[in-house]
Amino acid sequence: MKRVYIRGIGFWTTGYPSVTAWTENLPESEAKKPEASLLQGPLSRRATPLTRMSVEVMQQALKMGKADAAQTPSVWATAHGEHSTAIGLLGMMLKGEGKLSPTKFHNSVHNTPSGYASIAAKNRLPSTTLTGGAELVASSLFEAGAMVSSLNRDVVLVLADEPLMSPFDSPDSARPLAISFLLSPNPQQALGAISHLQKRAGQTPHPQNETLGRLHVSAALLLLEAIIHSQTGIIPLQWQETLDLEGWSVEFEATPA
Amino acid sequence: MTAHNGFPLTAWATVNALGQSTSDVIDALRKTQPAFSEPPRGTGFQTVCGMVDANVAPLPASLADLDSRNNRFIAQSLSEMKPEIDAALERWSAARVGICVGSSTAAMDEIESAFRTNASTGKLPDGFDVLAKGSADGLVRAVQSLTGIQGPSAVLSNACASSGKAFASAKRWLEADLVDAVLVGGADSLCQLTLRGFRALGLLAPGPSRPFGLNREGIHIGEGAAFCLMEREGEGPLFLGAGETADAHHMTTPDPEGKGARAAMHQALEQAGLAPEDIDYINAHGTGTRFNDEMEATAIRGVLGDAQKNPIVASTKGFVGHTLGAAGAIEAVFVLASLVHQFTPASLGAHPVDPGLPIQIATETTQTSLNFALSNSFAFGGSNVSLVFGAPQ
Repeated sequence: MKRVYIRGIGFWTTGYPSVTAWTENLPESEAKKPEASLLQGPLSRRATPLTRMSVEVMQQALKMGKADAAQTPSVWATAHGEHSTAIGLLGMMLKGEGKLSPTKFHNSVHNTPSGYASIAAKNRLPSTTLTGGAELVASSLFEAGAMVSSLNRDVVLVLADEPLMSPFDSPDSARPLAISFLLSPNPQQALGAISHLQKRAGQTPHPQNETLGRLHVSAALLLLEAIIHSQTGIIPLQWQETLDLEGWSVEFEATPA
Repeated sequence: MTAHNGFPLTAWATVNALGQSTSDVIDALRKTQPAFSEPPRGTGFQTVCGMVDANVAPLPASLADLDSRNNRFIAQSLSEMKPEIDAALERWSAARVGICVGSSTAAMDEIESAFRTNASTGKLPDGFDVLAKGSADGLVRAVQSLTGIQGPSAVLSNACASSGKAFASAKRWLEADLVDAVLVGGADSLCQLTLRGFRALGLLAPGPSRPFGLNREGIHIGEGAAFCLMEREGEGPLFLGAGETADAHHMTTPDPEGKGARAAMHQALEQAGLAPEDIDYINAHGTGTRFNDEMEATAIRGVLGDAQKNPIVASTKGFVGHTLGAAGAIEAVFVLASLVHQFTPASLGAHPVDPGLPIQIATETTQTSLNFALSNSFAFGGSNVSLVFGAPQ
C-alpha cells in the first residue's frame, strides 16, 4: 500500500458527538441523535440512525480537511448494515399479510448512508460500501487507499455500526459508533500518514473498549487515537485474542508537531 | 481506437437458475431455455422466481457452522475453479491473492428463518450465530476456507451493483500493486425480504420479467453466485475498464435522463481506451421495470450518439431473473461466454419491444463476431457501474 495521508477525522457515539468529546471525556447527555446537517427535508426525516451518524462523521472529516462533500469519492464500511431497519422489516413480515414499508425497504440496503449522502450533496463520484467481519476495518482502508491511488484525489472513509438488536444481540456490542478518516494523496496539512497495511504475526492484542464493546468497526479506534495523540507506530486493525495469530495492521506516522 | 492492456480473466464459474455448472448454464443461455420456478412456500402472492435447484450440495462438515444456501452456491461455483485458483496461489503466493465479492443480502434467508423460530419458540435455533450464518462475515470466511486465499478480503454491498463494483475494486487493487490476483465475484440467495420489499415498491412482476418489452411489468427475482479469477498475467478474456458513478437523484428511482448511467459507460470506455463504436455487445442491466429500461435505453443512446455502428443490446434477466447483488458477476460470466463462443443471447421476453425506446434490442440469439462487450449494473442509492470486457487475444 502506498503512503496515504490523513487530513481529517470524525467520531460519533451516543453521548459523545465529536472527536473532542470522546478524547477529552466530555459526555453530552443531549447528544442522542447525530446532527448530520447535510441531510435536509425529506432526506433528514427518512434517514435511519446508521445513516445519520455516518453522514455526521463524514461531514466532520470533510470539514477538518476542508474538502467538498460534492467532490469527494467515498468508501463506507459497516459489518451489520442497516440492522435495526432490517429487524423492523422482519417484524412486519410476521404480521398480517407481511406487507413491508417501501421506504423502510429501500432504507435497509447497506449503501443507504452513501445513497443519502450522494443525493444530499449532489455527489456523482464513485462510492463503494463494504461489509464483512473481523477484517472489515483493514479491507476498507485497503479499498479506500486503492481509490486514493487510482483517482489521485481525496477519499473519505466512513465506518459505522449499530449494536445488534434482539434476538440477535450480544453483550459485546454496546452502542452505535461511527468513525471517519479523510484520506489523501496530498501531505499538506495532514495529521499523519498510513502505509504498509499488511498481516503481521505477534502484534499486540487489540483491547476491547469498555464503553464501545467490540463492534467490528471499533477496531478503527486505535488508529483514531494514534492520530489524535500523534503516536507513530504499528496499529492493529482487528480484534486479536492472542499474540500468536496473524492479523491486519498498518503503520501510522504522525506528522511532526 | 486501440484498447489498453487489461487484466486477464483466467477462470470463471457460475451457479444460477439455469444450472449448477457453468457449462449447463451457458448451454441453456445459447439455446434460449430460461428457468422459472414458483416462489418459496408462504410467499402468498403471484410472482415467479429464478431459483437454484434445491439439491445444491451442503458445505463440507468442517465448515458446517458456515453452511447456508448462499455459501452453498459459492462452494459449488468455486469447486469448478479449484485448479486455476490453486495455480494462482502457487504462482503468486496466498498472501498476494485477494477476495472481492459483492452481495446485497448474503444469507438473509437464514436470518429470516431464525427470526421466525424465535418468534414462535422464544429462542433462536440452537447454536445459531448470526455472523457466521447470515452475514458477510460468514461469506468471506467460507471463501477463505474453501480456497486458501490469505490476501485482502472485501465484501462489497452496493445493492444490485455490488458484484459489478467488485470488478472495479479488483482492478484498482491490481493497478495499485496491492495484489497479483483477485478472486472476484458475487452471491445472493432468494429471501422473503427482497420479494416483499420489491413488491412494496410496486416493482415485482406477476410473471417472468420482460426487459425492454412493450408489456413489461417489473422484475422477477433470481439467485445464484459467480466468480472470475482476475490475474496480473495469464490467458483469457480481458477485463479492460470500469466506470462508477452515482445518480445523486433518488434512493430507488433512476434519474430519468440517465446522466449517471451514461457517465459510468463513458468512464468504462475511457478506461478501456475504446470508443462507443468499438463495443459489439451491451449486456444491459435491463430489469424489466418501466423506469429502468427507459432510463437505460436513453443513456445507451446518449453514449452511442449518432455512431454508424450500433452494438447488439440485450438483457439476460429474462433467463435467470434479477439476481440482485450477484447480478454483475453472473452477467460478467455470461459476457465472457459470449466473447469466447462468439454469440449474444436473446433479450428474452422483450418481444414485442417497446417502440418508444431509442435503441434496438436483440430478441433472438445471434452468432456473430465479438471483440468488446460492455455490461451495466445499476442499484438502489443511485449506484451505477459499467464494465468493459475484451475477447481473448
